[in-house]
Amino acid sequence: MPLTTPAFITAQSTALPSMLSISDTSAGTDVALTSRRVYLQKSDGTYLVPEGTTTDYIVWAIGDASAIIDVMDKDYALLVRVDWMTGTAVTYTSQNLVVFSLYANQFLYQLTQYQTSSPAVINNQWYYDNKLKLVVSIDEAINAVEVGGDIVSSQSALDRAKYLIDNQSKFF
Amino acid sequence: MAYTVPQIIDIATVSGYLAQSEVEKGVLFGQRKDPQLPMKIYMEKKAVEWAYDQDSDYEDIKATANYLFALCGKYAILANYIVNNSTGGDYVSPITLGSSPYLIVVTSSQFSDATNYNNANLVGKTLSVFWNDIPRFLIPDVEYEVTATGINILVPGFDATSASYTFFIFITNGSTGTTFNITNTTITNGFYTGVGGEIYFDAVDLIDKELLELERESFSAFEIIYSGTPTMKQLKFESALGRVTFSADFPIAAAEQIVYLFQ
Repeated sequence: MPLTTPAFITAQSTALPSMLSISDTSAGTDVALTSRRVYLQKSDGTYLVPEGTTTDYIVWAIGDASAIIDVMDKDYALLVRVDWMTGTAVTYTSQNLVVFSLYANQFLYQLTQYQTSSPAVINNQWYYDNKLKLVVSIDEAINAVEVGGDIVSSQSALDRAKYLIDNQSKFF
Repeated sequence: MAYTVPQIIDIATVSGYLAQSEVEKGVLFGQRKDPQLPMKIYMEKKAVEWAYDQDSDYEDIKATANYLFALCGKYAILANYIVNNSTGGDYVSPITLGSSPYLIVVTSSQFSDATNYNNANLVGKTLSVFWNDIPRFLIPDVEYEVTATGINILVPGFDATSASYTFFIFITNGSTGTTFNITNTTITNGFYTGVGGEIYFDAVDLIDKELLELERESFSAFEIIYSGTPTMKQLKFESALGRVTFSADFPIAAAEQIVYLFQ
């Protein structure tokens, strides 16, 4: 019996932000399948793979319902594609545009935490202006993918947020 | 009472709108203290909401939620009421279009037989029937009567199948108001582009039609005459020819755009 609806979901957890988890949510079964391949294509067209990987893809064993991939060194907007393989032939494929903004959201929350313990920080000049830039960048990144299917604009927004995070001592 | 984190998130969501509303009112009634408050509430709510969605026991979640609640300030009280009652108060109901007086233009071709005009919009309404060809209002129950499906003209000799008549039926519905709705009337627009120097133009779409309004690039509010020679801001309209003639003092310029409405 074939996979009637090949599908998957991805997630990132706050406990391990560098880990990308991917789970198979396909309907149906196909006993002939031998493996899966995960492609994480970035907005510049290159592929995101764990350090040491020499292929464009990451192998995901067919017997595992989910996989954890240590690859998220920052926030990414990705075209995630999974190929279900029979030997070396692609039998099924599925792809999703996904925006991962966990680092930016974590930092946004940390700022709120900091305000809670040090309320006077909001009196610093440009504090809220820069925090708003962070919020807007997160919203832009999500909207670009969800509304426009545009990982290039999304990645650009995520990189703007990252700049604020990397230079937090100047901006906050 | 102590609010839970989800309750505070809901309150903050509504507070943001309330704060924004008051900032906007400030344009009319004097500036409020912090025009950025709606944005601040949004930012903090976004952070707390994200953390709570990740984990309901997220680090410092209760403290940050309380901070958010404090930021909502006075708006939190009304927001809490709105969240729990699903309403922010009463509002003025808009007028329903068609419930106020409106007009139906009826011509002979719309009659179902010699004397009956049927229209569901007339049923159960208070009517005034104006016969444009006489021209005056008809006397109810003497010159016309209301039927179960419309009106019946009682004027002796009236026959819509053999002559061309126009009626204006005002539906007053026993109430007053300002909405004026015209139905069963098609108003069409047309355009003419000047050649340069001509004082009239012929438009096929105006033949046997009634010219309602016309505007030139540099003139408007023309007085429409139907005979004689137009002067100044007059125009002569000859329906049989579809011809519009202007005063010789105001010839049409090259490429001048003229727009007109007719029915």
